[in-house]
Amino acid sequence: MKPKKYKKAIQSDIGKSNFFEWYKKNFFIPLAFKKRVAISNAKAAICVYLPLNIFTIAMMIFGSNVIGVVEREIYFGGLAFLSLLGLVHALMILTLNKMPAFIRDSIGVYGMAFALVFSIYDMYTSSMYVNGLLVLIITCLLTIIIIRVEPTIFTVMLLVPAAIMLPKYMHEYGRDLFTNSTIIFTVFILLAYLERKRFVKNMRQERRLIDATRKAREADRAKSSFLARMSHEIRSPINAVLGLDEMILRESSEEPIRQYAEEIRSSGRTLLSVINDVLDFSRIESGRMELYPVEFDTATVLNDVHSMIVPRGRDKGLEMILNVNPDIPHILYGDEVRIRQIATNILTNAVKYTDKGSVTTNVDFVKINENHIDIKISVTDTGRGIREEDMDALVKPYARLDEQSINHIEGTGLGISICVQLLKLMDSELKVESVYGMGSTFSFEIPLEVRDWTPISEFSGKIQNENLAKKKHDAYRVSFTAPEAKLLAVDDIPINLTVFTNLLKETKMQIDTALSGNECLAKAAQTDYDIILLDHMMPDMDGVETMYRLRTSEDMNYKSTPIIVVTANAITGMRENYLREGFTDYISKPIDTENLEKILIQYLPPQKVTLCEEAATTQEKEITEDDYICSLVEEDGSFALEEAVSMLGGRELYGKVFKEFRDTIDYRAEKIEKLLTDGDIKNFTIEVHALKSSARMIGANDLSEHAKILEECGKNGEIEIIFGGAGELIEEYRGLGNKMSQIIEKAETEFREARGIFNLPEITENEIEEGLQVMKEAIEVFDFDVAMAVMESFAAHKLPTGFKSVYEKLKVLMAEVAREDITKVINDYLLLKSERESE
Amino acid sequence: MSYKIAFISNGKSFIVEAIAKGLAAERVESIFYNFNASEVESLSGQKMIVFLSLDDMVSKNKMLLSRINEMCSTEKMPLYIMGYAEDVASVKESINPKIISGEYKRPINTRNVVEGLMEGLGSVEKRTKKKIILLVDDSGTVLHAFKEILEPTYTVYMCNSGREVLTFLRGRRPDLILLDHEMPGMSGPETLAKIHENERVADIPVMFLTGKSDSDSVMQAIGEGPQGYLLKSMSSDQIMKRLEEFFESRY
Repeated sequence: MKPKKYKKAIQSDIGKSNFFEWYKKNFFIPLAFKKRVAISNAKAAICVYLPLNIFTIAMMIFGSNVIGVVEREIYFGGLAFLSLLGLVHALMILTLNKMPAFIRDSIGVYGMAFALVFSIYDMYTSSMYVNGLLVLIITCLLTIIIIRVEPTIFTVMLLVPAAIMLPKYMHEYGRDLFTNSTIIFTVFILLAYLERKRFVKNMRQERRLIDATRKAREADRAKSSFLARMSHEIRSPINAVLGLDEMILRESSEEPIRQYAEEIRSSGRTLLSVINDVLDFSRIESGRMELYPVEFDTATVLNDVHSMIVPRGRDKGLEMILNVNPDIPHILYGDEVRIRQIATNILTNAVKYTDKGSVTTNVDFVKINENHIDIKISVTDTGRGIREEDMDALVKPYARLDEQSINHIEGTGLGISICVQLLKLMDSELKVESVYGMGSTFSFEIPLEVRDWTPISEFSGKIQNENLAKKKHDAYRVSFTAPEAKLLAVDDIPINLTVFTNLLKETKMQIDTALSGNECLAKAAQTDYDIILLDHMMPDMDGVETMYRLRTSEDMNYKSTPIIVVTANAITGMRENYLREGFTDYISKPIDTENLEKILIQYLPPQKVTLCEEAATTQEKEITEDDYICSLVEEDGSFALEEAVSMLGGRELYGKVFKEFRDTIDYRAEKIEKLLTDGDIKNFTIEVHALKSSARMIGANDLSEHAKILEECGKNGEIEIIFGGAGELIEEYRGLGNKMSQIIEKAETEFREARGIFNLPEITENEIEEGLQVMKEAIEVFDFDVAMAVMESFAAHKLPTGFKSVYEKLKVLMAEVAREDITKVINDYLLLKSERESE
Repeated sequence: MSYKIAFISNGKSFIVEAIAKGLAAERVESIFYNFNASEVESLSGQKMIVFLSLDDMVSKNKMLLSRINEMCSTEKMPLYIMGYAEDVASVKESINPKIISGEYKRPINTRNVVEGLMEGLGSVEKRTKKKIILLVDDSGTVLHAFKEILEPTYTVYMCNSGREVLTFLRGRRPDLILLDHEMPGMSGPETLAKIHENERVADIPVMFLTGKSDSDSVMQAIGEGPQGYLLKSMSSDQIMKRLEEFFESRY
């Protein structure tokens, strides 16, 4: 194709460091035959004709001894004439650039054509005069043909005979050079004028192609640096956004802030995936996508990909099926990342465009030879299908099929095109079969090298049809602390440093920051850091140079210190590059906390790192009664559980607070009623105010709102409303109490059933007395913990009937923290006991 | 911790269980022994701290007490005793006061005991004493809820009226008082005024706890002279942060 030829031409042109090479290329006409540009180029022209000139003149001066004078005149005169013509041609190109190209470039051609015709004709006749016109016509025709076909060939063919014949003719017929030249010129101009369009078009095309190729080269280079820069420019702010969002999620437990932050997180992640798609696509387009094969575990990859998409499918009510041939070798060699990408894209697509039914993934293989297999992956869905006419458009980028009906489906439309391109790179292709309205099957086969033929079925439990999705970590738990470790983070953008420092806050490391390579060196000179994190792209001194300076500095000791590069340049294969440069490892932006912590654990001096215990999963944590309460409350749905839990800081507290609230309801409801009948509005308002806050704490928001209204009325003295509304409030309050009692009882029963606790041990009167005594002492010094412990102890036993009511009363009072009342009740009971005993 | 704590008591004891619970929170293991000859003998040869809970029966058994005395002094096991004043006194007849590492007279505060034992165990990290916060609110729900939130970080006491605060302050000095604004009987501001009247405790910092977040009430509350205020509607994180800032600024 034309562009390729021109590319090579330009390459050689632009790449000319060796003049001789270039000269050789441009001088040797046979080569010039391949490059139409040769003669249009003034320099080339000079180089072609100049040696002729020199040779001619030399021969004229020194060649007289070789041949006779007349022959000399003939032969070398001709040569001289031609070379003169050529020189004129070249001079005109050089000096008269503004002259229309068709004149400039045609001179040589026409002259050559004329000369050729003359010489041939002359060979066969001796009379020029009679057939001058004929000769002229033939010459014109010939010129036209020459121009159309290939101007340059004929330069060769014309040079020699013309050199011989023309001067002979001029000599014989006595016409002078000047007249001949005039004739030649005139005719030529006429011809060229007639031919101009065609000629110009050719010449212009040529020039345009030259320019275009040059521009293409430059654009190509600009694009590479653009891509690299864009990657950095785009990923850095996203890093900041996601990192700060992570900080919000960790530090705030306030709704609706958390909700907003969760939305930001999910949108941010979507954005990141879109950007990755676009960057990948650009890279593919500019031919910069390369494959980096590695060894990978077949089962893991298949599982990961499938289990990532399964939840999405399940959410839509689709059946997600995975069938894998158990004999597939378990370690393969290929570009794992890209294979995952293709499979994920196809699966995501299948789920996206299927609203009901199933998505089935089949993985099979065929042995090609001793070391290779063809792995075949196909995804069949029961979605909307693809029309035949649309099949082609499917792989076109940016286009999405059935535009009208799929406006609600998100996506850039790049996914499938990326897959197609990647598969092309892997010497494969994407196959699509579809029946519109019934469903589609996307499949591909790729040849892969086998590193371990052991079938994956040996590793049972790896392939499962069930959802293997990792447990979503809602809460962040830091995986290690290293209070003695010193880390230096370097980035030219301050917000990135803030994000970074905060992400690592929980590790308690001593973190210093620097805004430039220079600052980094300065700080590193003063403090001995255990690990340094360098941003790759920085103005002035970039990450790589800074690292060199650190490693090679004589004053500082960083030759073997772990230096990690932080880069937006997240391509596999880069790791080897970075390692070669001298970095210990790399992290890609946006920074993933889990990954960062893993890397830090890996490279920090082990004596400074304390690993934290794994966050207790709900299976390991002992399930208490409170957990049952939480789940029952959740089931009930009339409590604003999440709000209350976030206010309290956790579910563990909710159960306790719930029970305590319940315990106080009777007592408080009575109190409120009494205050009303007494007409004590002031204290009524205070009670209702307290109810408002405490109801909120268990998520009884309706009750809280009502209490708030009555509180306002109380403050504003709107007594009628109070009397009208208070009854309702108290009823609601008591009703709530009943519901809560039911929940608590149910929770207790479920708890006991789960624990297998049915029969409670007995407790003796003495033990009760001792317990009460302990309680009394504890309460005296405000030690409610011990008192609580005693109460809990009581609860774990079967209480004698005489004590039960006292226990219940104490329970209420304990919830109220009514110290004096508790003491009184205990004293009364103990007194009663001793009185009875003395009887 | 290389040491474990051996609790010797006469039968089941609530107090001992409460102390053991407190120790468990600090990851210290407690083992319970009955006060009889065989079980006391089994203590020999083990590296333990002995905690003896006294009562009538225990303090009268001079033989067993002297055996314990012997064991602890020869095997260098630290010994703590706890009981009523008269029991402690009588026990000292059989046990050499020199080998007693600590004694606690009832009524005891379990937290004091736990801390004392922890110090005795010589914990490696230097534990700064937890700040003591006194919570005052007429609603038990609020008191318990706040206690749970503050508990791991601070030592928390609860009072449900202004009057009790004054009683509390007679016996102990908190580092901060969180005072509910709206209370029946003696209201928040009234309580604050009373605290300020008493020279001995006037300098204890007080923060108002209020459910009213409108600026007027807040301004009015601040005008009454506390060191700050907290809203009941604040999340636990915010509250903890405020308190952290407060303590940092003071110390």
